[in-house]
This record gives sequence, C-alpha cells and structure tokens, in this order.
Amino acid sequence: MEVRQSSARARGHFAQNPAFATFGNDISFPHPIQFHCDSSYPTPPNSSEFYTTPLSHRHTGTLSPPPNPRGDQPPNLVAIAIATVMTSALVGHESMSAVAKHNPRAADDALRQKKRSFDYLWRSGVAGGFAGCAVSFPFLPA
Amino acid sequence: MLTSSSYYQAKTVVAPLDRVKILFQASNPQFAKYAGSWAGVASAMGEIYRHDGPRGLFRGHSATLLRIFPYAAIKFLAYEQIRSVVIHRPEHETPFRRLVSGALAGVTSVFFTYPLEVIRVRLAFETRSHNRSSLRSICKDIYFEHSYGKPLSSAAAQSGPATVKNVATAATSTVKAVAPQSGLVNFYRGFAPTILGMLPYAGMSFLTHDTVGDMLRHPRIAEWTTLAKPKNAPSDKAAPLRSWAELLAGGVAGLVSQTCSYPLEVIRRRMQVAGAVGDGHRLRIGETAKLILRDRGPKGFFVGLTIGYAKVIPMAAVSFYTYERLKLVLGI
Repeated sequence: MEVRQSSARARGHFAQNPAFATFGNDISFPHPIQFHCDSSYPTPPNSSEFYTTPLSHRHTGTLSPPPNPRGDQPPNLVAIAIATVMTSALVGHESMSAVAKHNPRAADDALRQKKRSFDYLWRSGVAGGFAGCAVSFPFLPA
Repeated sequence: MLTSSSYYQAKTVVAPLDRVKILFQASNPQFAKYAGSWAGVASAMGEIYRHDGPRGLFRGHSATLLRIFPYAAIKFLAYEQIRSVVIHRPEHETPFRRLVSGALAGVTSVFFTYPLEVIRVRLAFETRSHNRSSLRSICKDIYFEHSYGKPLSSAAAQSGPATVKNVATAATSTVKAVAPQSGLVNFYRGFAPTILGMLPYAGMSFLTHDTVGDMLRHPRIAEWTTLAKPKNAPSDKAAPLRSWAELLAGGVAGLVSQTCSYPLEVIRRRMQVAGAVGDGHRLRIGETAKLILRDRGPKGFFVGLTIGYAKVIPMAAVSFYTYERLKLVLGI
C-alpha cells in the first residue's frame, strides 16, 4: 500500500515537472518491478524508447507485486518489501530527490504566478462582480 | 433565484423605501417628523412624490446599482490576490492568515467604492428640488464644499420639536468635525466606522467559508459533498463542493460573520442616534458600549440579530455559490 502511495506521489511530481511534461498525467509503465540492477533484465516491449527515458524516471513505474500465479493467495510480502526498499533507494537518487524536494515549492510558485497574472485578475473580478449582482438583486435593500 | 422581472418588481418596491430610510437615518429636517412609523414612511413617500415626481423616489438608486458590481468584484479579486501573498505556502493556511486576508480584502473593496456610497447617500438625502442634483453636480458639490452644516441646521434648529433640534445640532457638529477641508477627502466621510465594521465582517466571512469548505472536503465525507475535479485543474486545487455544500459553507459564513460584526453595528447605530436620545452629547465607541452593557447586558449587543440573519445568510450563501461556480466556468 505504502509503495503504491509513494510511487503515486512521485508520479504526481513528475507530472507537474515540465522536464517530464511529455508523459502527461497518465504515466503507466508496462514493466512492473523491473529494475536495472537485475541481471536477468528482460528487454522491455519498446526497448529504444525505454532506454532514452531519463534514468530517474524509468523506475517510477507501477511497483505492484508480480502477478501471483495462485490468485487467491495474499500478495507476496517479500516482493512488496523489495519494492519498498528499491523505491526508497530510488527516491534517494540525486535527481529524484531534487524533484521530490523542490517540486512542491515550484508548484506553489507556479500557482502563485498564475494567480498574479492579469488573466486571473480579471476573471476573478468578473466572477466576484456577478456574485455581488446575484445577491444584490433579491436580498440587498441597503 | 428570482427572474429578472421579479427582480425589477422587488427593486421598484425597495428603492423608494431605501431613499426614505436614508432620509430618516441621516435625520433630514424635512422628514424627521415622519420617522418612527410605517404610516410615516408612506407620508414621506407621498411628500417626495408631490415635490419631485416618481423620479424623486429613485434618487440615489443609480449610484447603488453602479456600486454593486465593483464592490463585489474588488472584494473577491482582492481576496485572491492578498491570499496569494499572505498564504503562499500550504503551511501558512492558518485561520489567522485567512482572517487577515479577508479583512484586508473587505477594506480594499470599501476603500475603492466608498465614494459611490457617499454620492448615493447624498443624492438620496438631497431634498432641494430647485437644484438639479445630477450625479455630476453632486460630485462637484461634494468635492468643493468646505462646510456642510448650514442648510441642515438652520431651518430645523429654530422650529420643530426638541428632538429634531438635537438631531440637527448633533448632525451638524459631527459633519463639521469630520469634514473640515475640500477635495477627495470629502468622499470619505464616515469611512472609519464603516471600515471598523467591515474588518470583522469580511474577515470572518472568508475565514468561515474556507474553513467550512475544508471540513466539508474531509476525505470521509468528500464522496457526498464534492464534485469531480474538472479536467486540467491544478493538482493542488481543492475539488469543487456540491451545490448544497457550497450554499451551506456560504450560509454558515454569513451567520458567523454577521454575529461577529453585529455588536459593532449596534454600537454604530446607537452612536448615530445619540443626538436624538439622552442628553445629545456625542458618545465614543467605548462609552456607547458601556451604556449598552449597563442598560441591557451582553444581550444588548445582539438586539435584532435574527432580522440580520434573514438577510445575510441567504445573501452570503448565494454570493459564495455564484462566485465559486463562475470561477469554474471561467476556468480559474
């Protein structure tokens, strides 16, 4: 569960980061738990695309445990533990941590910039003005 | 919501009442004799109609209509802007900062639109029919006048009952003390008490709306209270509330803000009529508060509050609802 959350958070940061904007919001990776340290690393479906992906980004794929052959069994705890460790190690990766650390602030700044724009100014003014008119009509005698 | 035709009907009834209310509140010497009863209101309207015709009943109304849009527009616009400065990080999202942002937004809005309020009251107060008091000429008058006392007091102070005399003297002395010079300052008469009332009103209004909104968006109940986020919405922007939840948040905001600012309003009204009751000397805010406390206890500060609720709760609910929905429509 924790793994899923942290990976979701990481993906959220990437989605906001212009550097990874090409991925948009719907990043779904076709290779769950496939790490570059694995010597028996299978070739991904589209290998050229995969290897041009930024390194730090490559590891943010869905970290769900591998499919369980006996579907009725509880999830493989060892796999989850490994995934957790790997994820935290990846978050420790320099570029990754930089993004994780700086992105919330960058997002705040971006939002603040957007709020200060003239576009936001007049739109909020128009919305507010009409809100005032809406109430003044029936209720405001004074 | 009312349709536009019923809006005009409502305004047709309300605008003349407004004019009479202002004449009474500001103790116009010609109309003071009518104050205090509904029959008096009707007689006052009759007199206005005889003197100035139907247009007289709507004098000052244009300035009211002119004021509505910029007042609300600046209030909301200023709130968003001040908020983005005062609360620029999620950890700054505290009640105090919200209160300050809201109060400052209210003050900003009143600052820019107060001259229109003064013009409106002056238009409504003006009873000299020989003088064509258009919007432009009244602006000129207000700008250039040095002292405003004479026409007010002279007629009433000599003739008429004692209360009228007191009212006229008190009004004159107040006006003289407040407005000694000419210029733009003249458009800001009575600004201080208005601001004093606006600070808690706007502050608590925005604070309560935002806080109740947060509570309604609590993950446990979000399923029933919020709508799906619109596409392309920034990820840290809160999901919009359902209609009933938004109206509830606005209504509670109206309730709380009205309750908090009501004692000041009672004190202000009491000060405004201080000339007509008691020995006629001007009371300060503290003195007035003590007087109210002595006469009626703490309850005295909330006399007539339920009437205030009837107006403010639906007003705040509709206002916030319209604003939030229009923000969605306009994509901000």
